[in-house]
Amino acid sequence: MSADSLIHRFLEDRDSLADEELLALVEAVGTDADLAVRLREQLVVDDYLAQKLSVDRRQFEAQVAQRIRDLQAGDAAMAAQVNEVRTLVLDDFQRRIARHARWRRLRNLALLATSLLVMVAVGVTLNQWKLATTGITTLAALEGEVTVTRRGSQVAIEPGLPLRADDRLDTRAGASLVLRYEDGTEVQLAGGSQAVVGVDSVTQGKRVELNLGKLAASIRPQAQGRAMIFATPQAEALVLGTEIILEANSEETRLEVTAGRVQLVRARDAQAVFVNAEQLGLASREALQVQPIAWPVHHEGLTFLFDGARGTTAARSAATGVLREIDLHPRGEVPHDSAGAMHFIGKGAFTADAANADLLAALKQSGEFTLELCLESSLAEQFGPARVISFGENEQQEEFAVGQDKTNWVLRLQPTQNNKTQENVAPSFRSLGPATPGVVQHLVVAYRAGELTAWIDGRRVLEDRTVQGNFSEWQPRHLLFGDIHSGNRAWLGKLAAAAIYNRVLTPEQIAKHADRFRQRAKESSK
Amino acid sequence: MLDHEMTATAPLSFEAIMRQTQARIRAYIAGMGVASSDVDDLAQDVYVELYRQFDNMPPDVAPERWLKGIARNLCMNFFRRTSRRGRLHRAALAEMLQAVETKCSHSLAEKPVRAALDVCYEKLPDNSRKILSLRYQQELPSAEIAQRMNSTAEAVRVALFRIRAGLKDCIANSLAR
Repeated sequence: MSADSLIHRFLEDRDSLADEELLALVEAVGTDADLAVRLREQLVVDDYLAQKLSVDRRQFEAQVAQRIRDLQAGDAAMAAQVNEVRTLVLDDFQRRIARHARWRRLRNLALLATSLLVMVAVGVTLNQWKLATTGITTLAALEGEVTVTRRGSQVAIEPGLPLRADDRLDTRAGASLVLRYEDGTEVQLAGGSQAVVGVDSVTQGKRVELNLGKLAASIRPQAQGRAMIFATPQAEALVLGTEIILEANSEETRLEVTAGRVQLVRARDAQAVFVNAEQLGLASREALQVQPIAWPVHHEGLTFLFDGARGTTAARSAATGVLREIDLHPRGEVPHDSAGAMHFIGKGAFTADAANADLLAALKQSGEFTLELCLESSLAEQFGPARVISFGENEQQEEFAVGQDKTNWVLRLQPTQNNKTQENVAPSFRSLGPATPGVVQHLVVAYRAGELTAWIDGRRVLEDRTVQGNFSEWQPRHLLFGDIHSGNRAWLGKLAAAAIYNRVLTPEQIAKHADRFRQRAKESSK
Repeated sequence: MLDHEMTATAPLSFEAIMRQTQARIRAYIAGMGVASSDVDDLAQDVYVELYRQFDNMPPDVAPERWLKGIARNLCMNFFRRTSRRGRLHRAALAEMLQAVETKCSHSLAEKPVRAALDVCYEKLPDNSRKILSLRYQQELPSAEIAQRMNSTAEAVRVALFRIRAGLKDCIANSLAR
């Protein structure tokens, strides 16, 4: 396609060119200064014509004036709040004075009021001194490299350390920590994060400034007017009691609300939105919007997560309970496709050894299990069974696996019964349903003692109430994708996402996940 | 009023600066390849930023130069941050287009273009004004304009290109007198 044709299409719609066409345009403009000048002149005249003729473009000055009024209103609202409180206090004091006729009683009352104010002032000062010198929260657990900086100096840290107002917390990649407040509120700070704990100067409510990174929090109900405030470079989230996941960098804040309702206020213009349960709030300089949470919606009990589209692999630390990022390691040749999915071509697998110990601990502790896979077989018939996911050593020592046997998805699950292990006697695979080559399928297996179910694309395909046992005797194994640890069971296909929970998801939750993943697959195919 | 005239007299109010510069600043942003639907949003951000910095604006810098500096920064941040396809290419293109600003017709960058455009627009043949009306007033894509005018989408795009080029020359000649 000629440069002229690209320019004509670009002028009509700046979003109409494909990546390679944009690149061609950039190359053409970069090597021909006259072309660059002509293009710029066309863009400028195009905009002047739009300003003249387009109805939507005629109110520009009024729109700017409104933005500035909103800006002023935000500043004024803050000042008005402070004045209102001051006025209320003064009005109340003056009303008390007016009720008393005798000067002596008036004088005594004034003296009493003054004393009370002094006592309150002293109390507030003492409280603030106490906050500054004693703890406002406690470092309940930590893992990996964590530093606490207090007034410019690093503090020796250990679990149970009281944290004071303005203490700064830094976590290196792979590290995590948990803060616990007196009322039971918990904040989990993920690796690669920086946060400052404190108290809000106006409301005296809890305050955490997340300058960079990610946190999850479970906030106990807070008193009205004393919302817990999470502040990022772009916004503030005011929380009265709920569960959230908050992520911030220099450009954008992401707030996921898993329960309850949170007000998200953008810092630069005080515009605000409410983010309800199962919604995601986004705040940046350009945007303040709310949208449904993409998959996975539910994080409670989430022990392992691979999300190819977001490039995320994470495992929940048994020590801190924080979902921390880990690495997948390729064994052999295993590319990722353009959407980030693991693409198994029969020459390799992915290992997730960093998750092995934590996964085992979580499943043994709960005795429950949900495995969720978004996968696509490349071949109608495969044998072995070929392993999509395996937690095991070899064919005889494998705690669980999902694979493809001929044209069907199959499951192996070995719960412990009566505290007896059955070494070298691996249970057989059971069929779950048809594997459809070339089609992304959503597959879920859920187990607790007395209930084994499986779902494909939100539809239940297996229900067995005879299976008993827990995972108490499970052994440390290798978590692998695309093969079994000992090899020779390679699967051909793509794995877009995987999640392992140490609890059984409800049918409604499974249906919601299937639906969200279907929506995401539809959007990404556009 | 030209840039240099703005600084020669008493300092202008924020409203006066906006009134005198907004058309050129919006076109300046468009000239960096920003999508039409985003130009005015970014331009609003520029003036809000000016409002915030108004008291700190250096007295010896022409307001429009200050505004273009703000616009340049906001545009580059916008391209780097957008989740649109091809954002790196867009950012590169924006830098190239911004770099040739001084080589473009001086009148488009500095002078009151809107008045000249009104005059030049009236001189256009009926057919050209019809295409511009369909494109800019009714905001129709070239394919639909082509259908109405019994032509092809590419022919419509070429026609628009030529009309704009003609208007650019007419504006430059008009302002040169």
